[in-house]
Amino acid sequence: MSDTPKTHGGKRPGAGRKKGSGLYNEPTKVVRLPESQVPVIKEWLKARAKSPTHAPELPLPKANNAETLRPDASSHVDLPLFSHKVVAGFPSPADDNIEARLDLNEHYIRNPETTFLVKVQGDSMKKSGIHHGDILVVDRSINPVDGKIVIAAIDSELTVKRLSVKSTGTWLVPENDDYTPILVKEESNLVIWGVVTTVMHSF
Amino acid sequence: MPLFALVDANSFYASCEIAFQPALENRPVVVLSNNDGCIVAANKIAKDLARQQSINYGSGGYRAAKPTSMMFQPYFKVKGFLAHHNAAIFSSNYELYADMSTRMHRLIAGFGSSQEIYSIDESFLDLSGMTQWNLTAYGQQIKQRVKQGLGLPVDIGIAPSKTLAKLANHLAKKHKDYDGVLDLSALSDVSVNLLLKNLSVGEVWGIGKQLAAQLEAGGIHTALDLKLASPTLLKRRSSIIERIIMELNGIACIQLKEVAPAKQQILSSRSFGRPVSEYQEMEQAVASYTARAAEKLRSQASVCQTVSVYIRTDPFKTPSYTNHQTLGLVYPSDNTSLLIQMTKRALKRIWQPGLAYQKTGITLSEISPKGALQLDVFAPNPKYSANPKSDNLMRVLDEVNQKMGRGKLHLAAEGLTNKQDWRMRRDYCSPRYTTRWDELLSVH
Repeated sequence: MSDTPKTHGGKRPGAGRKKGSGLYNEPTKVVRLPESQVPVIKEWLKARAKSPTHAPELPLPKANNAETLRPDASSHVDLPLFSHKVVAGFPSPADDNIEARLDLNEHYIRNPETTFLVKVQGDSMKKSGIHHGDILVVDRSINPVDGKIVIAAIDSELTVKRLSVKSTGTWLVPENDDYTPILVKEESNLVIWGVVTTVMHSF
Repeated sequence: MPLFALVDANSFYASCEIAFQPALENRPVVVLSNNDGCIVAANKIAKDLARQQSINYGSGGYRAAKPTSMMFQPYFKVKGFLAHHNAAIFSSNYELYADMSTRMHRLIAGFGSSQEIYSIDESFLDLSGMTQWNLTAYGQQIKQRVKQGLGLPVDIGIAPSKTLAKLANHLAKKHKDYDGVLDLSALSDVSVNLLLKNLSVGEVWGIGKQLAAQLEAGGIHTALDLKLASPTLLKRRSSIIERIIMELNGIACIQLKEVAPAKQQILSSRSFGRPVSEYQEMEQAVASYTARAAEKLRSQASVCQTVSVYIRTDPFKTPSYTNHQTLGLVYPSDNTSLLIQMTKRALKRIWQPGLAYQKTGITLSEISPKGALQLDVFAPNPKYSANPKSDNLMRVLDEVNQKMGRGKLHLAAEGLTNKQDWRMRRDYCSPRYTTRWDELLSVH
């Protein structure tokens, strides 16, 4: 073989159609398709050519017994907390920096032994963001003081209200204009069952 | 100096119910045993009420039942009386009581340097070295914390030995003046002796009915008599008595057991909700009790080598029949399927058709720690013992049931859960407030 540059044959730079000058305004690629799907893809390409920005979804065939997979919410998931940006695609150099896993319990429950979950019925505390069906985190070991939202037992019914200790007396105050505050009478037997620390509301 | 506190919840089951329904505080509350048979717990109001009436309940109920007290008596005897006094009646809500018990023990644990969980509602705390403290005030603090945090009333006895702590707790419960806390270590010897003089010897921890009778015969009637007795003078000198005497004298001989000892025998028995006369139903009940016992066996990492089954009809009706059968295993095992095979085989041998059975129970015994297996040259290779495949299966079974709730995954031999109508009756069961999402306490 000689060292002289070739003058015949081979690829000539700059020859041929320019890249991206075809039907689709972008480079293309040759692929193999199952014959039965060729018309489907062709249809789709045609539709896409008409309105490139609002391309319809590719109508790929589904298996007869296919089902939509729903996320399973029943399991317990720990979310890792990183101190670095996550690098995707290759073994993460951040692995060394996994700090801990975010546990909702840890954040919302300070005293696990004395914390109970209760369910809200009704909307007497609507304005403070407590709605019908919400679940409240109640810590019984916290001292009920003026201004806390509490679970109180009065007249044999458990109720969630804001505790207000004023010169006019002890009040259980609803946060909904349709309800009136309850004055705790001297003779009534008020039990503060626990103090609400968190409301869990699902949308 | 060693110092112990015994923290004990008052009428624990009844108190758990009241904790979630504060309005019950002023009403008589009674909790019934399995199948709503007998009274196993009652709050103070209920007990006082029954005492005032001084009804003679006669014999029956549990062995602990006395004709003078409502406790442990069959429910039907007092049903009308309780209804008349607007009592609240509950079936045993074991899920709730177990959870509240765990919470209580954990909450208390922080108050001592170590803890022994003695029963569902009692635990010993080690307070050694706290001699300079005002332990009565400290006890009040524990009491207040448990009351506020869980809504459960507890009483506390403090003393230099566990036996004395137990007596102190008993006294704290009995006498209002102590306000639920009695510290014997703060009292003079004379005062302690005066207290012990008023306690019968049978009330001392570790002195059973028989031993009490023996001691009484020997002229020892009160706890003080026993404290001052010389062990050598006692007719039947035993190390147990010697130890109790030392303990009563404030010399700690019984240490805290922080780790519960592994059970030597696991028993699972229950009365049926209705009489059972179908073999298939009995077989399912036996299988399901066996499965439960096997689960307990695995949770303490043990294997057993003997299984036995007993069945009985109502002993108060004729003809009555009771029988049991024990079978040994070639190799010790903890495998549910093998154990069910064995208990079913045992059942087959004692089953008599045409009878209405009331109760069955199974026992696993000859329990030993699970370890390497000594193979027998002449026996076939074990399929269910020290077999990684079978072990894995059992582990998965236990894990699934732990996560999804007891009995979610079970052997077909146990029958379908929704068809097990022989299961015990729990007609007055309260919601499982702390362990089920769909049974949470609701507030308005």
